[in-house]
Order: sequence, then C-alpha cells, then structure tokens
Amino acid sequence: MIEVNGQKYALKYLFEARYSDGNSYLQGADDISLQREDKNAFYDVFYAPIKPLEELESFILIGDSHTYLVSLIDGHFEVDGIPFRQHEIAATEFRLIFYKTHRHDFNQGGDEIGHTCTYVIGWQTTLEGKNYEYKIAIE
Amino acid sequence: MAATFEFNEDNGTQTGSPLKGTTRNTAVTQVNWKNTDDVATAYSSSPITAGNNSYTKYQFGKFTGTFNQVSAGLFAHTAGTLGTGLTLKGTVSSTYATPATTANASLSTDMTTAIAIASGLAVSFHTTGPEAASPTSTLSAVGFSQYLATQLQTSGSAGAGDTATVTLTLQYNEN
Repeated sequence: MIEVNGQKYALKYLFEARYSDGNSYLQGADDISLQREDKNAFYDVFYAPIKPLEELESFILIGDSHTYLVSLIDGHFEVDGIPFRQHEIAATEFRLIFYKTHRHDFNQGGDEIGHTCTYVIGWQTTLEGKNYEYKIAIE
Repeated sequence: MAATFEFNEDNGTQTGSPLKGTTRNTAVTQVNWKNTDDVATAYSSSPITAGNNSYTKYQFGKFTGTFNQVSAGLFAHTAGTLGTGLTLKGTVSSTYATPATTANASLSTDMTTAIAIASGLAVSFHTTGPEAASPTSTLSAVGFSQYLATQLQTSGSAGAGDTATVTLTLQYNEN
C-alpha cells in the first residue's frame, strides 16, 4: 500500500523471493514485515533477512497479469517466463537491487498533484574494483 | 501499514534554531506563487503585479509509514512553459528565511525552462525537519526532504492573467 496526501493506492506489483531450499517469501498486500510492524516486507528479505541472502535464487514481481523475474544465480531476467540477458561481463556474484521510484508532480495553476510509481529490479556486482548494475524498470 | 508521503509548506516569520517557518502547513496540494505568504489564500485574490515577485515558497516532502530507505531525491521544473517576463528561481536547501517579495538571491537556480527530472537538483533528507543541519542522501526512518524553495519573479513585460500551467516534480527511490 502507498499513501500520497491521504490517498491510498494498492501496490501494483507484489514480490516473491524464491530460495534455494524451494521455499518462497511472499509479500502481502498489507506489506508489513514479519519481524517489525514499523517495517515493510522487503525488510525481511534484504535488510534483516530471515533467510541468508546467499540462498536467494530469484526475485519476482507479480501483478497486472504479468511476472518479472531477476535471477541471482546467473543474472538473467524473465518477462512472463521469457528469459533474456543484459550483461556480457563474467559476473559470479549477483546482489539484489529492488526499489520503487516515486514521482510526485505539482501541476501549478491546476491545483492538481500527480503520482507515478516505477518498480525497479535487478542486480549489481563488483568486478576488478568496478561496480556494475543491471536493472529493468516496470511501470 | 503504508509508506506515506505528503507535501508540506512552511510560512511566516523565521523562528527557532535552526530557523524554520512559524507555521507548518501539512497535506499541501498546490504551489501557487502569489503576493501573500500562505497556502490558503487563492492566488486570484493575491495576484503579483508585473515588475514584482511572488513571496518565496518553502515546500518539502514528509515521509512516514513503513519504508526501509528513501534515496536519490531530485527536484525540477519538468513541464510547461512560462510566458514572457516570467522567471522561476529556485533551490534545494536546509535554510529558511522569512519569505518576502524581494528577489531572493539564495534561489540560485534558474528553473524557468523545463528539464528532465534526471537533471534536477539533488535533494537530501533528515529525520528532524527540512531545516535540520547536515541532511543526508538517504532516509531510513520517518523524516523530511530539504526545503524545495521557489519564487516567481516578473518584469514589467509580464502579461496580465494566469500563468501557463507548469509542473514541478519531486522524485526519489524507496524500498
């Protein structure tokens, strides 16, 4: 759930974190951490992981009749099960990237305000001292 | 629980340490530059005379609810074209000064022309308030953006009537 100036918006995509033991962590619509009621579900996956991040195999956004997956095994992406790859570097470590980009617009003179939210998933790695990021942005 | 956001605005005489507005208005949904320092007065009731400036507006974002981190804040005029004789000046700052209609030299960025948000001014954050010293590029608890300060400055050639609609944008990442 997102709330902007008192207006509530349901999350367009919910995430599933899949682990090497076959188990998954599913983000609930209320988006509350299992560990702290003042934190959201991603806190349980990334900031105070309830399962080691090394065991996280894939991170999937599900919503609007589509799925978007990033693999933390080999760095490929999938849209509705169709795989593709962005990178050519010889990465062996894939660290999860997930955030939402919020854009708040004042339409001066129209007494309007607009809000858009773009979901970003991907991974980053450090190779020979240089950081690389590969991401997809879903609107 | 939700991640929540709202725009706020400070008005009135500078007060406190660090300085902030006497009045802090919440849930602000417009940025109408006008010849009075408040949120409620309709701009049509307080027009700017050509050759004069609006009062500086000090707006900012307030972040509450559940989130882990807010980062990568940016602020810009992103759409719409202001007419002849109109200049939009602005800055992102932790400094509040009693709003006035004199040309505010602290507003060092000419924001008259719309740009992509990626080229906007960097915005930092603080848990205490927009006025707090040493803001940081990320926010990990309930808090505020810096002040997004703007002033519409006019020359004698500015035309009468409403300005064209323009869009100001605050963008940030959150997870």
